Amino acid sequence: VTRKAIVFGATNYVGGWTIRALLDAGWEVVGVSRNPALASILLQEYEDRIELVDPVEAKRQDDASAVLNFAYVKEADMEDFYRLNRSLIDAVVDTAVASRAERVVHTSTLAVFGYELNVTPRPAYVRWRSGDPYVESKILAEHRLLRRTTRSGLPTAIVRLGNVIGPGAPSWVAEPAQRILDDRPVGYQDRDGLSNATYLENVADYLAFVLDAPRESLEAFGPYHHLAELASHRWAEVLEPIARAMKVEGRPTRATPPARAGSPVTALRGRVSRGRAGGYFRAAFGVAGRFEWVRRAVDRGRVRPWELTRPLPVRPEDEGFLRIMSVPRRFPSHVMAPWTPKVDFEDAGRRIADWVASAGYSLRLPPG
Amino acid sequence: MQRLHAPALRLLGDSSSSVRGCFDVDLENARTVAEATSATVAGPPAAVGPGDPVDAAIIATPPEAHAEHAQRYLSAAKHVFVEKPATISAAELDQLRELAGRMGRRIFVGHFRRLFPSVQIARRLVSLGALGRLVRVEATEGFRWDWEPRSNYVVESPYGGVVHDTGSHLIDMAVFILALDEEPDVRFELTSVEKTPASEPSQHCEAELTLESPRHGAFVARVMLSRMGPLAMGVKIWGENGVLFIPARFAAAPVLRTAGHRLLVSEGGQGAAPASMWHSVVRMHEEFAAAVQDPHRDTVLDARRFSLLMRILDEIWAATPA
Repeated sequence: VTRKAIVFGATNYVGGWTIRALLDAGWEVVGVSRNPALASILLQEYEDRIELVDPVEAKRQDDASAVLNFAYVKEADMEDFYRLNRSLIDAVVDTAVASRAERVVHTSTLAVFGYELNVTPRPAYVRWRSGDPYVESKILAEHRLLRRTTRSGLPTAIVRLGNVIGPGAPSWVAEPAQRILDDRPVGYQDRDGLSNATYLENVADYLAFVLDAPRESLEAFGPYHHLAELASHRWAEVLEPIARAMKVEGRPTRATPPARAGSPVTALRGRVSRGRAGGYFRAAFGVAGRFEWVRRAVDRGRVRPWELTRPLPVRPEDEGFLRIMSVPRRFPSHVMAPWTPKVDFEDAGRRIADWVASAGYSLRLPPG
Repeated sequence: MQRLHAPALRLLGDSSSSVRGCFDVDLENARTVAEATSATVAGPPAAVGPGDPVDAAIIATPPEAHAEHAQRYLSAAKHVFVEKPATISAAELDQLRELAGRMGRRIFVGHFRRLFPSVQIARRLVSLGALGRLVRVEATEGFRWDWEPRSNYVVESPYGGVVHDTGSHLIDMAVFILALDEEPDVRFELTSVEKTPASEPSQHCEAELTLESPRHGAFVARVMLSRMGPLAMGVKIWGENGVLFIPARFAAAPVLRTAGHRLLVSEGGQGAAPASMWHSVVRMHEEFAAAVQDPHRDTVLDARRFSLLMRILDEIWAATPA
């Protein structure tokens, strides 16, 4: 019997790969997207294999086995933010009820515990905290979804994902690779954090596993799942194969960590650090002696080459990224048995490296 | 128009120029932009005559409408600024330039990345011979498309694909950095192309070309563009002395990797460089306004500097993957 999954947020990076896993496992897939132009760009590969509908048409589907949600409110004016969040989750649950789905699987994130895991990451209800739109959006979605599905008697899995890495992963592979190219810092010195990572294909595989799990097992497990099977690997281990694939000389740049506020000693250290900011660069006089063009250019005042001997000062827009790369706390997996990851860390690193080399990040001159 | 040009025009409104009218087939949009720029007229596209009290027009429609609107304004003896890409073909741009020449008016193209400090410095470095003999160029830019377009233009118009959209910006960066926009005798040949889907509008495109210019000799250039997933964002130029990387996004300086050194090459202190992408857009409008007032002023935005870019875009766009 063909099982049917209705997938909200089908154009999402993880959503696309999950659709592939479901199709390979024999599922019939209905993708839901508000944006047909976007869907026709990002879901081209599956164009002939899935049905694509808008949220209104989704409610007219029947005999679905499951509704799977990747969608969340990304950007909205504050006055619309909460309303849009509610209506998105309501659309997911209403579709599940209307299509007589047997379960709802909703993807969330470790960020519900704060980007730096400020709250102990337990597989349980997370209290509402205001302050960051993405975190607010994710917490609100969890709360409303669980309230609505409980009322409707629908078994529910909220799968909180670790930092998703994989070929083309925008935040945790493409972004660090671009930083290495731009010579922007990829972390703080001496503060290499835990990656708390999960690999793309493992995510897709686990979600397919949850969709297939017997109802009793799903209910017995409880609604909260945490997936970060590569959590104990540090970011340096993730970045190493990326940098190798890029053929960069030397290690990727790391920034000087901000002084911890508190004691007079650390405050003084902060001042000293700021005072030495001018010394972050060393004018490349050594290079000027070796290359005629540098001497000519410097003499004419046309360009000013600086050798990167120390990390660049941190720009405000880098701080969020760098803090996540320094998180010392682990986000442990909490997954249903007997699932085990298909792809291990070494294999994941190889696949990511292959993608990095093919996507234009390599600095080595191709042969010929 | 609303996002990029209107705020810059509002900023410059009191100094170098003022906006008289805003026209759009979407009247609500025309009114919004008119309000934002303190324009006195808003409405659908209207006829224009030589007696109308305006010096120039800014055209920010989808590219296939650029030529039609530009022709109307040039015929009425107005200068014209068009969004990138200038037109949908090199032939169209040639016709517009010919008309502009006859009318004694000029056309400018909104390639504001030419004003990024990193791009300006990279051009200077290449002309200084920092890289030595040029070996290879790679221009790549890709991301997962995740915003809602106002129309289905990006998937329905043959000119709505990644070649004319991202490609025009990125390939122009490479052309400008190598100063090929100033060389009259650049020859090139498209040696391979792959597109997804295979016909335009393509959403992913990979192309390889061989170019030859009197200044650089022969070299290979590779272009990768995508709306389907991320790619390295920028232009890499390999020479016999090292590799120069210029980010596609705004950057203050390019990175030169040479002989085991990583050099961040900044401005030589010759005047204030734009501090952000937004400042580059403002600078672009300042350039445009100054060039309208002084017909002899040379500017990197002048349409005559975009012939090679348009010919390259023509070839890639028309190519059908083997």
